[in-house]
Amino acid sequence: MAFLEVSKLSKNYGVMPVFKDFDLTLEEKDRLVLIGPSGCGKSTFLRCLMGLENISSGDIRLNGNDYISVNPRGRMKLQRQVQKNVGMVFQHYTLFPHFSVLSNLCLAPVYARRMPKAEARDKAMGLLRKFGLAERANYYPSQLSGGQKQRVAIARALMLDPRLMLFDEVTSALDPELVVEVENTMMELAESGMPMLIVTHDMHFARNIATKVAFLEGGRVVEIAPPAELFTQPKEARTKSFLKNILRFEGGDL
Amino acid sequence: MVDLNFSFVLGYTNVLLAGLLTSIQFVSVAIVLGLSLGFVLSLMRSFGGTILGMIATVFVEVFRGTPVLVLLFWFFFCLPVFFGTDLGGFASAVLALSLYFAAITSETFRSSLKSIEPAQLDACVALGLGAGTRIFRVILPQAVLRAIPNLSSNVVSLFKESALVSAVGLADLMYVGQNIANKEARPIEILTVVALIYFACAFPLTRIAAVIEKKLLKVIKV
Amino acid sequence: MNYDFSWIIVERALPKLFDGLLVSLQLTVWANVIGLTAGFLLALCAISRFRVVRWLAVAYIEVFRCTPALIQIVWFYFCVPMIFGVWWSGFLMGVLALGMNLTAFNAEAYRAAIQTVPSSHLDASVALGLGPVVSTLLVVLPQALIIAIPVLMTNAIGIFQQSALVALISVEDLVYQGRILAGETYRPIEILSTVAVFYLAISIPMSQLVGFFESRVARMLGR
Repeated sequence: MAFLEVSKLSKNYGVMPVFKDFDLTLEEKDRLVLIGPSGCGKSTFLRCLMGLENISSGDIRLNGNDYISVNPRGRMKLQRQVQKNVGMVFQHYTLFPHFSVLSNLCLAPVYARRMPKAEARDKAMGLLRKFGLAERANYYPSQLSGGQKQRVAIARALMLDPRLMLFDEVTSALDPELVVEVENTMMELAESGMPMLIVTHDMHFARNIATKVAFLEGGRVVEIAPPAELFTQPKEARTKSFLKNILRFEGGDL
Repeated sequence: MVDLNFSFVLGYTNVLLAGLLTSIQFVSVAIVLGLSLGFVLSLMRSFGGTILGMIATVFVEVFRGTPVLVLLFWFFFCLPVFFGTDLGGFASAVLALSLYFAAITSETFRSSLKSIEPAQLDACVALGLGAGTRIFRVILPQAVLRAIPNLSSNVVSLFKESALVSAVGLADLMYVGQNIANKEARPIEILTVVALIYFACAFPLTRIAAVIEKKLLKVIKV
Repeated sequence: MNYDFSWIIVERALPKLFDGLLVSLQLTVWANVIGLTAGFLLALCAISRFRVVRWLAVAYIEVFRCTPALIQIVWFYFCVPMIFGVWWSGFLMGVLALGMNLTAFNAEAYRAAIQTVPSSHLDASVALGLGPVVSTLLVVLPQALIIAIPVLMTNAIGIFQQSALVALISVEDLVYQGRILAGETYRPIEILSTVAVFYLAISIPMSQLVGFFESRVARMLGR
């Protein structure tokens, strides 16, 4: 039994299908990177996993527990207890601008998990120290660089001890020089054994961090394989042409 | 040209200041009542569902689309009919100004509520924040902070409209000024001074708003 | 509390009220003729290179925006005859006062609109070889005018409502007629409510139009 099981996921935007009978499994040691052309549903898939989108049919199970399902009458049912195990970081930081970095980190533990404030503060400072952001604890988001904001967003999600982390194009909106610090943070998190689902356009980073890479197009998995295999010996024609274009753009091969 | 003599105005300083004080009192009451009602109305329109939303919308449209003078006269002439007694100008002034201020501030709050990016709500879901935390700690504080610049210009508008209470016989700055002008038959000096007093109060308010915007909102950058 | 709302009173009052409405509308239209043109010129002064011109324009704008319209109207009515020795009607005084008031607000609207046009447009047209003056006229101004439309319309609605103040200098506008009739018929509720409805019947549709133009402008700016 896999760590994350997605079966027969279907979702429409109005009459346009986004996914139809989409299947995916993830083991606990997996870090899956989703690549593919824009608008093929990668971000939407992550949002479905976070419970931010409605699905019309399908089953999602996390660690053996029912997470999201759709009853015969078409109503989606989401288990909040299981949702608490999933953390997500978005493309546009979405730190709360009226709270300091420290308050951003402590808000959810204190008010959603009833953690005592002192305990939350200690945990937050520990995380910030690990990320090298301890001196910025009392800064406001507007005083941070994009890379710092994104790392704070990651720390904020980690405060809740998630079992699965979702990253939705977290470096796409950053200046190129700031991308590295965020990716390094994600690599450290990976080395500590966190299961992840990552959507990114950075192929080099994908190659380094992933245990599996999935190429999505038109709402279905065209090909899924370990990164070494997918990037050097893609089996499907679409995968080949996509990678050829992307890698030409990025200047070189992997 | 006309010969102007401003010195006599000095003799009326106390009277003018008393009138100004009355104006400020009306404005203060209207702010307190109007701000609370305006806030409630904006919540009704943004989150209240169809019926509450419609009631609030009708209310706001009526009190925004009718001149304050008409509101004033309506209350002044119609309330006695309802209550059987002559209430004087005070009730109609407070009602007209407060309801006007409620209508314009509800628009301010509503647009600041709307300006909060949906992505923040995504973050609230991702963090598992409950509805109460989401509303009272994330959304509302930001809505209020974003509303501050417009709120201060609303206050300036209210202060200017307060001059109308003179039309129902209340002794505010405008009323006092007109009385003196009539008595002394020297409208130019007096009315100019009255205008300057209004300006001296309103102009700093507009500047304070700009300063607040720069300092506070620069750091918090909502 | 029983009250018999009498529609007959309303019906009988309509002719007089319509006369008043006509006066109010005329005031609004003439004030806008002044406000739309003079406001534009004033806006140009407010962004002029010459410090004195700029300063005077800004001073005018701030004075008319930070004082009540009522005092502006009353000042005009009582002081202009004394200063200039002219004896114009209350209507004309009202038009002038409202026009000067609107000029200040519109100048702000035009100025903000001009500054909202992305400077990249000006840069691009200069890069294409159009001189700065031509660029401004053909590229920046048309866009600025379009951007300004919603605010100018909102200001026009505002002046329509402020026009009610001329009743206090005995100009026979809608409010004036309403107050007279309310006194004559001892039926303030019917009369004054109808007066309010008249104002709403014009203000509300105009606001909807403003909303429509706002979304068009937003789309034009690519938001």
